[in-house]
Amino acid sequence: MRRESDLRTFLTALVLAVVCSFFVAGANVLLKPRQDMNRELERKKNILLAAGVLKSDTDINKAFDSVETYLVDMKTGKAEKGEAGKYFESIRRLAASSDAVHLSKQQDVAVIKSIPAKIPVFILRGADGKIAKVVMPIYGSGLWSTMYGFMALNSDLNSVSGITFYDHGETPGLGGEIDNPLWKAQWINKKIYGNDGSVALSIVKGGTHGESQVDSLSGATMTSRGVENTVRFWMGQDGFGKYLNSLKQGGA
Amino acid sequence: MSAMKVFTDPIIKNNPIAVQVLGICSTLAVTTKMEVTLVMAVSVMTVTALSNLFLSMMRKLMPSSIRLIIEMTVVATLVIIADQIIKAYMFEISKQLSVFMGLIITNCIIMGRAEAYAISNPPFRSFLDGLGNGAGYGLVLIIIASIREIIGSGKLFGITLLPAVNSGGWYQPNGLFLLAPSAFFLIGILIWIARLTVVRAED
Repeated sequence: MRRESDLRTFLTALVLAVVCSFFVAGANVLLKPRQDMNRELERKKNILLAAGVLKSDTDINKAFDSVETYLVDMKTGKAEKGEAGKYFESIRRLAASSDAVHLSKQQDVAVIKSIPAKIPVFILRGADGKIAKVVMPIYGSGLWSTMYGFMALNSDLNSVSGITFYDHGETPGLGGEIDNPLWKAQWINKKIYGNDGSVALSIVKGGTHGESQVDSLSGATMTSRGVENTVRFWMGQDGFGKYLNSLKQGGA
Repeated sequence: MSAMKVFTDPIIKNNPIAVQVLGICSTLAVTTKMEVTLVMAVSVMTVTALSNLFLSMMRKLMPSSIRLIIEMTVVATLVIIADQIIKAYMFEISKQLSVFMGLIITNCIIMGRAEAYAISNPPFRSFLDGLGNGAGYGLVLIIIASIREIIGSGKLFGITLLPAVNSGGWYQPNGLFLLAPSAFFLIGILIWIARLTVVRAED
């Protein structure tokens, strides 16, 4: 068979494609369990971090055993016990599925168009069995990317226990500083809601005044605004507002 | 040319970035932190060496009409496997490399060396050529990353050298060095130095 014949060309391409796809599929199948485990560990780490219970020697999986997972119905604010894994693996797909909650322009302050119908929250209880921390997944648009993170509230369901971002594509050194522990530390004990029950938290430039203001990141106005909008949305009535209200009235 | 020279030449004398001016794009993207840069350099070195090796082994079987497609497929396969391994075993770093790992496929050095060397030379030498070019690429990456990380964030390998104002120190980090343009300046200067010294000595 000549080297340049059509048949030979076709066969070479076919054999190469089969061999290469075998290797790619093999690598994917063999390494997927480990990759999924990494992602899950990362998620748990961030939840514990937001709740402020993560120390350098904490065994993450062990510490997470005492965390209760609930699934919140975003339309009604009702919650029931459930598993969180499915949500984190497919936020985008769930947000685009037929039962997703679509947001009108006015509602959509975090610029995310629609949200999944059910979203998990994580509850840590104190020794007396009362709620100590509530950790909620949040996400919204920054300057370049969608920022995914967790917001944790203390038992008064108003003051911040911690905020973390586990996935974003903001500029390193500028917007990327949303990862900076010093900036995140500012959030602790800030009040999300004002006296009238609406979201009062804001991110401001040049010195913070009062218990609901967080200092903006320098050189990252758009990212800071994105974080503010994300928090406003998820803490508001279209986000976890209804759920938090029901918790205040003594629900689960 | 001796086998040793095939490996050592591209590290300095025929450096892929400074002299051949290949693979500039990824140099801009992944040189803000040393740790990430090192993983990227090793990945590129492995992929270039292996793609050169495999393509050289296949060079007599390849029909010329689909030569580039074959090269692309082999390179892509290697890059995907490298990406999967890093995601599984170096999760923290893979988060920072994000899309750039996959973009190794488009790194001009890899296709450039395959076309220029591997398809007309025996496998072992091609392997060395790939290794050498990968090392040359890595060397430039490391030089640029060390400058950028120190000036841009006052750190090296994530260890604080100059305590930044943000963290309560005195050093005001230069944000420009964290953005792509700074790498342009640094590569420009590096190419200039390379031309003044290495290339001139050749002539």
